[in-house]
Amino acid sequence: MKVKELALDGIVRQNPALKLVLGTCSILALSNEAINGLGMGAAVTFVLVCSNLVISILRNIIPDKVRIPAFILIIATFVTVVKMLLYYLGSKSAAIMGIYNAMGVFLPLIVVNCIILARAESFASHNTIGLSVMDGLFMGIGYTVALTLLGAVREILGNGSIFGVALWNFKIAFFTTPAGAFMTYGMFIALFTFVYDRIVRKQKLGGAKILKPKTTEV
Amino acid sequence: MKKILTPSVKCVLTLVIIAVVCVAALAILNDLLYVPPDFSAFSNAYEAEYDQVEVADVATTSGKVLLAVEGSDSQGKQLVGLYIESAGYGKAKAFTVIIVLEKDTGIILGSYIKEQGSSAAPYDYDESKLAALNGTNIADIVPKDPEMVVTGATHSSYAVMNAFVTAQEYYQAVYGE
Repeated sequence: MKVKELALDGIVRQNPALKLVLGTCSILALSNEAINGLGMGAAVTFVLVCSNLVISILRNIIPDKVRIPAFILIIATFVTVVKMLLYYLGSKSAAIMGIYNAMGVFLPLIVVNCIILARAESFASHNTIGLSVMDGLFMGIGYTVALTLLGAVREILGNGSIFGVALWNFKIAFFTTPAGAFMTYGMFIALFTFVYDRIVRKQKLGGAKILKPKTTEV
Repeated sequence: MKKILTPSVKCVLTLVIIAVVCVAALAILNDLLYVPPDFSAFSNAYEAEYDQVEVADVATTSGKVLLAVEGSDSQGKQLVGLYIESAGYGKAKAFTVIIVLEKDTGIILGSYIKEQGSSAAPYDYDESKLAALNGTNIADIVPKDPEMVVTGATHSSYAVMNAFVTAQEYYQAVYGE
């Protein structure tokens, strides 16, 4: 039951990209193609799960006064690991090297990604190992889904392709620009909030039809 | 013992221990995931075995030496390979060019354009014209010599030749008499 709640929190109710609006820099920069979004999402998920795991294990050992520097040290270690791992895999596969190169400076900058520090501070440092890992996993999935969908929409509209596979020749170059990223991201947040609010309101009313109040004309 | 472990000491100790463990873990992973440098691009210019050497601190006017290698070919000829980012010329942006020279004489043995800089004009890059420079001593390179035009567009040709000028300056400073 708790796992279901964590899954709903990570993917929908507290989606890091669409609800909490965290990690916006990398979202805007790497949502130009679906594959880049997926790669960045996977990297962030890896760091989230591993850092939540270690922080949860050490939660009773790390003194409260130095918890933030300690968290940063742990997160930075896992970011370095993911960077080395991607480069190593990239030396075996050109596709992974393409993702590695596309990530550029945003890969080391995962260290300062608000999602990771926020989960470490608000969840992993107060909860058991299992729950912390689950929280990291679902938060990572929520971020990855949002980033990949955003990348897919921008790639389809901007490049006329999806995951590098050409669909048609119709392209709107605007969607590949930073301004296009801002606009698409804004639209995504608006759509997500609209649908989410409708669902929540429906649940609160127990599925009852929402009636408009009668107005009397004067 | 209790007196020594004041809260501040405990804080510092915790951070030091975490840092040491992290560094140790990274050192092990670095060895496991080490990817040796790939010098295949140098072999595109001239087939030989290469090893990386430190880039000397030499002031160059027309570009920058990003990587330097030394090696020897199958006949035992000693070589110097330079990976150069040339300065752009006009509308032609920087080119990255690999140039392999004979270490003792400075004779060009091979060159290869790794990345072409963007330009308003088509490059019309001609591999045979670049290959025609092989056998020329690097000291004899004159960037704007009509005999040494390597592309169809003047500006991009000068941008490529800037890499050769950089190689000339670097070679003379490091290996010259």
